[in-house]
Amino acid sequence: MMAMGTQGVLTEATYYILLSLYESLHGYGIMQKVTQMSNGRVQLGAGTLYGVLSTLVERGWIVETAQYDRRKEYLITEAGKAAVEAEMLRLAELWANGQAVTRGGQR
Amino acid sequence: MRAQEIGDIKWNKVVGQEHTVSKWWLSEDLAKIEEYLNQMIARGFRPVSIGWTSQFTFVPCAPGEYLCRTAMTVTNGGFYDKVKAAELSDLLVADGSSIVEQYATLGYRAGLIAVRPAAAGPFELTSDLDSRIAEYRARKRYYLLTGLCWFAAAMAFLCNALSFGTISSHWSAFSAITHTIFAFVLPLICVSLFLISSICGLVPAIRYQKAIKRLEAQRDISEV
Repeated sequence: MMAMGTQGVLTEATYYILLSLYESLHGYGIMQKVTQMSNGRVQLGAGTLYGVLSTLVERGWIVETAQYDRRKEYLITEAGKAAVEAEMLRLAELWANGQAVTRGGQR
Repeated sequence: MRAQEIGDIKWNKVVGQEHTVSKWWLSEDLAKIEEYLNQMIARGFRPVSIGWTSQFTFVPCAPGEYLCRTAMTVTNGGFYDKVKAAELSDLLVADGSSIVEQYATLGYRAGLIAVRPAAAGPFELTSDLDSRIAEYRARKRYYLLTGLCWFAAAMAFLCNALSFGTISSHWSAFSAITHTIFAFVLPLICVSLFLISSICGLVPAIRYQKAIKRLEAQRDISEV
């Protein structure tokens, strides 16, 4: 797994897009899945999605698995999964520290 | 086909449901076009196409029935990105949008204009700070380049006119009036027009630079 701090902080859009690609999906499927996972809170703009997908493919965190007409399907890679795991650790640390300070007094 | 006035809109052409009007801006800017199209939608006219020479065609709709958004379809280097244009329009269509116009001219002036029913919820092509900043950078680059090209043209024309006008041998065969027109009046008009065009390009570039700085400052404390 990628060491903490070597990849930078993932944006919310990137994090959710990576999570949604644990199954193979095309662009519009990703938009729907992200909306569903976040209970409608995160609604990806088409421009944002296109930009993030291009960057993630370049970085090797996702790959194109199929193409129907002009619709491409993508899937997360092992490197992408490592990035998600690292981000989850970071978020867990944020949450734990937040809990400790706000619910349990100063650490 | 006839010109017709509805409210204070003077249509150039009305064919069936299609109403066409010319709309010009001294300084063309995608943000202004988006604002204008949303204003027209608020008045009950949905844009369906944009022709050459800024001919906007609309069909009637319920006031505010749609939302309009614009984006540039260029690479990070500022050139037309065919793949981005195709994939972005496919995504938009899948998401329930209609593409009003998709254009690519001069290799670096490329973008799209889309509308989506307002009932489908908020409509943004960029939903986070990073992609919004990237979009504004693309726009800034385009307007900056346009402004600088016009400025270079103005300077080249000025230098050429000055050198031509001051070499007296060129003018021995012409009258004083002809000399004045060709050596001073016409160059002055052309250089002025080029400089105005240059300013019209540079003003949006400065506006986008300010917007980028504002968003970058926001990003320091927030991602979305």
